[in-house]
Amino acid sequence: MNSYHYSERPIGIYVHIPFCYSKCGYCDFYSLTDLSQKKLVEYIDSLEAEIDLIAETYGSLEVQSIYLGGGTPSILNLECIENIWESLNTKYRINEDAEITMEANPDSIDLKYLREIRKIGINRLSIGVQSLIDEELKLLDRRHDSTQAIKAVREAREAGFGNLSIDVMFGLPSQEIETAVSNVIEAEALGVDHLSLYGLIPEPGTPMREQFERGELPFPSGGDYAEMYLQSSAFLTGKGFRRYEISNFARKGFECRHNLNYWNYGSYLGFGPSAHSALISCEKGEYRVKRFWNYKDLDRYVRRMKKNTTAVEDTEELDSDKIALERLLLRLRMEEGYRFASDDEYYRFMSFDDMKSRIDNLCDKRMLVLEPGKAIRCTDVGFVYADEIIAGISSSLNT
Amino acid sequence: MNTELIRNFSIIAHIDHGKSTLADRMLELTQSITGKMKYSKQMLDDMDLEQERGITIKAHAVRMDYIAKDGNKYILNLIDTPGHVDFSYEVSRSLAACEGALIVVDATQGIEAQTISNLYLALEHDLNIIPVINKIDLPSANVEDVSDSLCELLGIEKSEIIPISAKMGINVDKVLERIITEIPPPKGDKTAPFRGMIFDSVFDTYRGAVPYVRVVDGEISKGDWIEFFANDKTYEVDEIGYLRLKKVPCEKLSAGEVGYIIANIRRVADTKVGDTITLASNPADKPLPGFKDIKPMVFSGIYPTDAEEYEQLRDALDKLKLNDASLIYTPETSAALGFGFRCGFLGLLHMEIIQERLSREFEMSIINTVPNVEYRVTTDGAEPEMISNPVKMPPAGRGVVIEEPFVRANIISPPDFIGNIMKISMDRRGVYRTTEYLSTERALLQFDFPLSEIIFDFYDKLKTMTRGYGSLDYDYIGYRQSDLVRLDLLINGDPVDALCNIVHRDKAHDYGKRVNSKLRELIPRQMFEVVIQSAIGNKIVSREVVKPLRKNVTAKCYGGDITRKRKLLERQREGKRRMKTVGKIDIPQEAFLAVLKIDET
Repeated sequence: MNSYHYSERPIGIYVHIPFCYSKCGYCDFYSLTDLSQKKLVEYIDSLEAEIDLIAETYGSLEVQSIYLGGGTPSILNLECIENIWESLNTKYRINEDAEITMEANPDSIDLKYLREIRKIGINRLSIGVQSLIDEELKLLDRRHDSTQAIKAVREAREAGFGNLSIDVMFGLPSQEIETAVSNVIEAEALGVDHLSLYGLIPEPGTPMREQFERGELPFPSGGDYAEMYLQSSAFLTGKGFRRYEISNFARKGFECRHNLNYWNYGSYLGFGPSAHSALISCEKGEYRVKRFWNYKDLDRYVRRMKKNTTAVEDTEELDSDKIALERLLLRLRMEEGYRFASDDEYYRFMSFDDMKSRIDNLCDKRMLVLEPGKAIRCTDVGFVYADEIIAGISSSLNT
Repeated sequence: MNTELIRNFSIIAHIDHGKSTLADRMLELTQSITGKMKYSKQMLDDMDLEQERGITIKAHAVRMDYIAKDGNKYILNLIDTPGHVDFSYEVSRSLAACEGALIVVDATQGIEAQTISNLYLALEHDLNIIPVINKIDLPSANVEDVSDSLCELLGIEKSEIIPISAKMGINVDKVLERIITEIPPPKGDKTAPFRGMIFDSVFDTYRGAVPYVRVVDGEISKGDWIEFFANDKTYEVDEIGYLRLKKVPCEKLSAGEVGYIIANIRRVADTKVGDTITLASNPADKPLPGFKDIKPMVFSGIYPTDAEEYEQLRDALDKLKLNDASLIYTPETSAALGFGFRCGFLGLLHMEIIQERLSREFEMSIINTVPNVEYRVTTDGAEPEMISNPVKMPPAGRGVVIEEPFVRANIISPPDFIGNIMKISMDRRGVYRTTEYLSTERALLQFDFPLSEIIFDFYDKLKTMTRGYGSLDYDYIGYRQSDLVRLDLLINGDPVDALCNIVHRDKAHDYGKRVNSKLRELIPRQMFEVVIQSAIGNKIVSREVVKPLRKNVTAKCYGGDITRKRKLLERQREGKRRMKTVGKIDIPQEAFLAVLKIDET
């Protein structure tokens, strides 16, 4: 059936829900605004078919986290959510204490809805607040205002969500450092357990990118951008949050287990159009990694499922170089940093061309911390240059 | 073989003046090419590179049978000559193998400096010259003016010039007849001990080095044992023959003939152009005159881009050396570039050819340092030392005398541009000698230059300053003392050996400034400030700064799509890997060569 012993550790499951009331200019995730009954029904039917099909292939795996993302999952009515939950619950062994997250937008939820999904089994909510300034929300094409955002957080608590996260963005066009930081201060004041702090980037292929290229969007300078990040980050850690990953902050025990599984090189299955999966095993320090992902096309996805075939667009089995690169990339974005499994690995790593001088240099400049024999990790300022640091170190990596 | 029925000749022409086309027509008229063989446009140039660059890099020879109007069947040996100043010694040997030469001038372009230099060489060897004006079919042909120049230059009557169009086949038959009537048959003593002059040598993977020879005296047969004057080895002749478009074996070659010798000779370096071959059983007492052990004029460090490919690079150079005796190389190390080789070349074109062959034939990715000439350095009256790597140059000081190679250059141009030529020549430390008028439209200027000043981009500059009309040729004339200094390049205070150069003291500041600003453009911003300085000893002569990188937080959620983020990183990493880390700074590899291309203005 397959040669991966990925089932040793419980896996994560991601479900992509590709529907939105409207598209935001910055977003490059796959979603549609055609919310007709026909489309929704086709989607749910196909999703159930895919869940069954994959279970036939890989068996009834043990699951430690589920994440309903999008798109806007809170567009789905309770019946749909229940159907998805039922399918997953029938085909996979979901742990008693599994983390079950759903993304939600403030404009598409109310107290009743929240109570119901809580009852179904969703135990973590991630609300797309983004900003608490109305002009900024308009600029981002969001459908909610700050009042709705505040209400959504309050109602989520009322509905019984003891594990609550919000997304906040910084680095918006024309944004001042003070505005960005005060946004984070207000967001924290809402009393959440987890906060994802994302820098806004005009990704290729988005309307915002086009505007940016026409010179219409005055993004903050690199220095300001860094200031926003460093000051916000300092504020949150001062309030008792831990920055466990470059853009994720949590109170103790509230780290997102689903995302940690991605970064810690655990296996996961993704369902729905554009969803990504990874099957990863590790034996005696030797990783084997297979990644595959579905077409970013709902109609095609539906056709495939009607024929009872997978909707996989492409598969890659990683060689050791790519694996080393991914681990470095993921781990250096985490607070713990890149950890060496053994002295042996440490000495091998440090003996690559230029590696030692590169790392010494970064340590001299207080960008990186080297714990000899144990780990390398980015400092606070190092996170600001994370891309550059990771690219530099990876260029010395000779696998 | 009756030597009365042999004619040995060369064609002297500037690049693109139609030498190869004329050769092809002659091959057709003498039925040396059959229909099937007309696949390649120009028959004599058989290396890819040669065809692309439109120049014949290595001389070849071809034998044609021609029935003349007098009813006799003649053997015509066309000995081709390389068309670039880097190979002027080879040209002189090819000409020495002939009794006559066609001088071919493009009717639309006029006489170029290269043609005149080669013409002088031909006259030195007492060759009979047949003047030919080509491309008379083109609307822009100016046969009258070009004829005037040729008459002036050669002291001949207009009626002696053959106007032709090689492309259209006009008057090519006349050229063949004139070869018979005007070029004398070869002289030579068939009974004397065998002497053959090597005018070229090619390498055959299966049969080793194959010298092409002009037999001057005596004769040679298969099975003879041969010796060379320039080395003391002895070889048994496996095969001899003459050259059509392919090798044709024959029983013997005798005085006056042109052919090849196969004798299991391992390296082309053992069959030096200009050397004399004789028989071991009955050796001649003296070699033929004119042999020179040619020395490289231009030096450059060649390093593998990937340090692990050092061994492969050495193998590749070893293989190139097998069929290119003029390439020399010795191992060297650079703090910036690692292990590599200091290579010597005949000139810049030769260097570029080697670089291209390394990349095309051996798929090597290399970095080469700025080329330089070889300096003669005398410290405190001690024995002079030859220095070909700038890093080895002692710091300027009392008691250090530095000499550099000089050349005598002939520049031909319409008189309108004399002012411009004077200016660029003075900028290049040229010492003006004379001006002569070849015709009212063409002036010949002579200068002495330090070789280092004209070797790189002087010709391009000259072309620009004369709207394409100017042409250049030069001859090596010896070493002269100059006020030269070693200019070090420092990055954040650390000298980068691979970017060190020797320059004239008066130019050090300007040169340093240009190199620094070029590097400033090429070195990407890094996490820290990068200071680029040029220095003579402890004295900083110029300085540039690369500002630090803007901060680049990219805190973005990428969900389960790790692939995309990894691919982005792979691209970034590739970019980084194309750089060399010098003193903790990433320097793109282009930077090492870009220093060559710095603009003067």
